[in-house]
Amino acid sequence: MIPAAFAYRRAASVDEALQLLGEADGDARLLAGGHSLLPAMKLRLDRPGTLIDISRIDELSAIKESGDGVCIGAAVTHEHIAACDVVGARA
Amino acid sequence: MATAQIGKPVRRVEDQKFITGAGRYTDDIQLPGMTWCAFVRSPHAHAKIEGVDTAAAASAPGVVAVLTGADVEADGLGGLPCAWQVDFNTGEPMNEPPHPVLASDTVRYVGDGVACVIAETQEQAQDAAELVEVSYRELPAVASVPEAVAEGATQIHAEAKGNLAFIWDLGDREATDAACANAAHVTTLEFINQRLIPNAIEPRATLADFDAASGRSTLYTSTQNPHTIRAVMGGVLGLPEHKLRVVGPDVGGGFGSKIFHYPEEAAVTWAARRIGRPVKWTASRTESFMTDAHGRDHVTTADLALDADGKFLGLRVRTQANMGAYLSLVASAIPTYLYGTLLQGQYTTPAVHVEVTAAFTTTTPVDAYRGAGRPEATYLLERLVDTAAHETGVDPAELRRRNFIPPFDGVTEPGYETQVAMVYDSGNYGGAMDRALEVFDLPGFRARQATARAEGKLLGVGFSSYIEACGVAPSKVAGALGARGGFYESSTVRVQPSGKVTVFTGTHSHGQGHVTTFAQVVADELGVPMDDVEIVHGDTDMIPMGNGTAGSRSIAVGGSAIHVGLGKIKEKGAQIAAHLIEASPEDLEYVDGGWKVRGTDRGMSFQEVAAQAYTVHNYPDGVEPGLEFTSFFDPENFTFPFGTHIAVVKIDADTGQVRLKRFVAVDDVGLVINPMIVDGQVHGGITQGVGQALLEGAAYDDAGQLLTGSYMDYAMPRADDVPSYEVDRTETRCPINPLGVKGAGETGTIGSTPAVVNAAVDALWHLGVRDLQMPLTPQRVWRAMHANGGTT
Repeated sequence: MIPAAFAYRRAASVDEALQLLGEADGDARLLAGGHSLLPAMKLRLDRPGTLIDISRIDELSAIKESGDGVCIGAAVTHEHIAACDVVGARA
Repeated sequence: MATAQIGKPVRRVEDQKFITGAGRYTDDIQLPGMTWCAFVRSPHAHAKIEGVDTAAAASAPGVVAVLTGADVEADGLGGLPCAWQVDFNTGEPMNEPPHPVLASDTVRYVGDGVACVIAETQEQAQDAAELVEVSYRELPAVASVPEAVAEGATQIHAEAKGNLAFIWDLGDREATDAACANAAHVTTLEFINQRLIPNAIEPRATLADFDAASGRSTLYTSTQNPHTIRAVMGGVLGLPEHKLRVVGPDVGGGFGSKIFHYPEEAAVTWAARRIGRPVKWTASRTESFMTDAHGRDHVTTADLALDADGKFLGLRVRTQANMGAYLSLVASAIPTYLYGTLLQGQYTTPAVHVEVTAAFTTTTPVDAYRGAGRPEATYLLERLVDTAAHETGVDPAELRRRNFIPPFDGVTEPGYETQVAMVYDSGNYGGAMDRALEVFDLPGFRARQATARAEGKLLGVGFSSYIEACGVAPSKVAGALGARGGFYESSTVRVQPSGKVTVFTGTHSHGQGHVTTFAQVVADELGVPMDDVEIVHGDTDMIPMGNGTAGSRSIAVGGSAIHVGLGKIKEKGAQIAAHLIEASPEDLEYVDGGWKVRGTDRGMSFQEVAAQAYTVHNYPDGVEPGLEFTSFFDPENFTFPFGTHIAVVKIDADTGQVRLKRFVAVDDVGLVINPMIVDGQVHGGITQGVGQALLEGAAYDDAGQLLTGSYMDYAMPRADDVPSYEVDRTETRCPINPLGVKGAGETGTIGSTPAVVNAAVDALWHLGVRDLQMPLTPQRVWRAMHANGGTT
């Protein structure tokens, strides 16, 4: 249960993530929660050369009012949604 | 003076080390110059090996050696043997195809080893293992027994025609057929006792060392029985006992799966001798799922014949048992001598006949898993009894009562001889059920059940009155039935000069708490504090001989061997004490931690005598110095724990989800030495049995791929799946060992599974549901509810 060797990069912004993806030339995978990706890597079913960690990009982790609705970032956790006043006010 | 310890819930003395992370497991052991081993395993269920190219792996970074099945053959290694010869009912011996350490010609299950790579680090070994190129020509997979024994099925082994391992039977066929033909009522059920994966929390691990100077190998391995591994692997590698030491250090659970000698143990020991350096392999969880021997996997049809009064007249059982790809170490004994022999249960049924067809398939080998044969026997019998109760309109407890064997103590009354070759030691089966009913309050439950039904809620109760057999015995009978080893146990009781006591046992503790329980026995017998007693196990260099821990044998057989040794200590000590106080040994009795002249307070303490035994300054003539005895105990019979379990389940009418709401277990395990440890064994056992009933099940697809190879696909029971158990006991002493103990390791697993399924069927009976197959997943239960036209 040991993955093959890989490089790890943490992106601070969506732009940086895109840039790192471009540099990796198809040999990278995005790491958010890792629930599917990491087991696949440990089983060596997936073996990317680079992992680009997008779990700490603020733009993806925000919940914002947006007109009539709420915009929930792609990296927002269930816990964050459950505890969020903006969401709670509309529940 | 020490106070009595037997019967007290003494806290486990080993827990301090385990809960503070000070346990020392095989994977914790680091040796200088140690290398790592990784295995190249078959991705196919069944294939011819057409070529193995090791060149790329051999030149990968850190690689020390790459060994293949061809090397195994070249070095003349033997195959892994089966330790119990079961004969066909026609008299021919079972088919025993070879099981090589590494396959060189054909692979027969997903995970079958083809090569191993030895490297400086675990990562390098694993990376290089991926570079070994194996060319396979795929052959058809055969995952189930019905497929394997079908006309024209692919042959898995040349040595096993029709893929048969054996066809075995026991009991009186004609009498049973006649009973079934003439009965007022026959209850018939078809059972799939699904395949289970053991899941010890510590994966298997092995570390081999080789001392070139002495030519000795040492194997550290996560095992339940170091001496057995020494004997069996010694045969595989051609290493006699004095050139092989096997150590089973702390072991994180076995449940049967660590009884067996596995190919990896032989491979690392062989590799270490070849490269002259230590070699370690620790299984990944994926490898554990694929290669630890699985459990159960029976398909059975059974008929229970009853007369008009509900007396059982006959039980007919036809079972297909899946052996997997090879015969694992004791695989042949499980669906035969540990299954067919228990089918009479607690009842007076006058005719019983069982026929078992055991076949090879292209799946992981199947062998003993907690209960081993006895859960399968109990499951079908107790499901039949509850179903017969429903069908004939008799209360399930009442139906059992009409059929119980009357109480017998095995001392003033003889043991009970069954129709299937067992003589039960002692029992009070009605007594255990009465106690369970007292704890449970059946009338109160029936009232609640009626109210719940009126409200559309689905509540059911299930019973299970089980018997099981612990401590396979006696050796000469087992030998006559095909066992290739003995079933005695050894002990060495070493009284140190200070009067402290070190006890060496051939059993092995991997969660059972022997270090505490055995010390309680020693402390009581010698009248010394528990702190003065040390229990040692798990090293063939320290312990004279042993058969390890399996089949709930440790206290009944191992504890008795210690008891025999303590008797010898007291006898020899009496000679020394008598000399010191100028009395006759016959006039001495052992009381309060010393020898005293009967009726006086003149005597010598245990410690004084111990000191004299090693100084030998004032000593009787003709008596050897020292105070130490090695003893062997070969029981005259199995022990037969029994009990009644009662389960209550609630089924969600919308989703079919089964929730276990109550579980009452009344077990009789003979004399209880440590009630807290027995409770723990019962709790764990029940949870494993509930796991089979509700959650667990290994699945293979048509290509023979294991679909349940991780915890994402294989559901183990968790704390929120079970209620707090209501555990109670009756105590019927076992007459065949000096302690009066029966064994407590497997009762929970054996008794609980049918109780839970019976409860689920009871909850749905009024909807037309007559049977459910395990595990009781919501989908399966919901479909059964609707297939029968029931609406809720």
